[in-house]
Amino acid sequence: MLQYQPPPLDALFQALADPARRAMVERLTAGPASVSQLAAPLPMSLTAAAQHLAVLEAAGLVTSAKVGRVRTCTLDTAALSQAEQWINARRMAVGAQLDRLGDYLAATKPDDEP
Amino acid sequence: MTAFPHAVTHATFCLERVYDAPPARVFHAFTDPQARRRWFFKTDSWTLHAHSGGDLAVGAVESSRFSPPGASVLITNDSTYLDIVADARLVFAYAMTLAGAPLSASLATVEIRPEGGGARLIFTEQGAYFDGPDSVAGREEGTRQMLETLANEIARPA
Repeated sequence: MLQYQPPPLDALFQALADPARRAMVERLTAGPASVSQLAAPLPMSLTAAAQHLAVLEAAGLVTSAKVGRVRTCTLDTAALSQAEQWINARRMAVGAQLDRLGDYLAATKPDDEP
Repeated sequence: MTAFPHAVTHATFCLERVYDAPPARVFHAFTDPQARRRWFFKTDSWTLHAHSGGDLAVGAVESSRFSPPGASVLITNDSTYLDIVADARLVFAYAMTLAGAPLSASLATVEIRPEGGGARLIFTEQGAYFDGPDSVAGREEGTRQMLETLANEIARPA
């Protein structure tokens, strides 16, 4: 039986670390789009957009299929189960909260504390 | 790829921070309801619909209902203190829901140790994370939330 292998988290995070690629993923949550539709709102060439899409595809976030001359991209949310997404979101949310705790502690530091 | 509609994923994660504050002040900030409203519930940007409890006592329950910035989706968090060692340790169990669907049930352990003139905080979470019925809305919300959290994390100065 073929086991489904989720893409490594490093590749996923690296793919999502770029704002242009995040913009593409956000656009794709609304539904499939062509490469030129994805590139249109971004300040970059079609070639650069295609390179970003290749990173998203390698991370397992996006799948694409060429029909005629148009390549259509689809968000592959199955790559991450809802539970795995939630674990990642939770870990990052807790990290952000602990940083906010640090900000709070710095802002409320008493004068007599060394 | 979820094999069946109500799968559970178990996971553990651990985060550490070193603060320029003695353990007693870190412990107080972590447990004092007024302080928590400032850093934990992010009331400057998130909408806190309801918040109750939060007494520092074993068995005490803290319930909160909130929505992320610019969104109306309801998230709930119900938390119970299981173990309290003043200025040193907190253990609590908490369950979260998103738009009425269960997201997770977790056991969180917070350890606070003196380090230099400050304190090291070690947060360990052991959780059961749920896949709800395979709804597109749920997956989209999950993805959007993950991206927002990630964007916030990246925007934060290192």
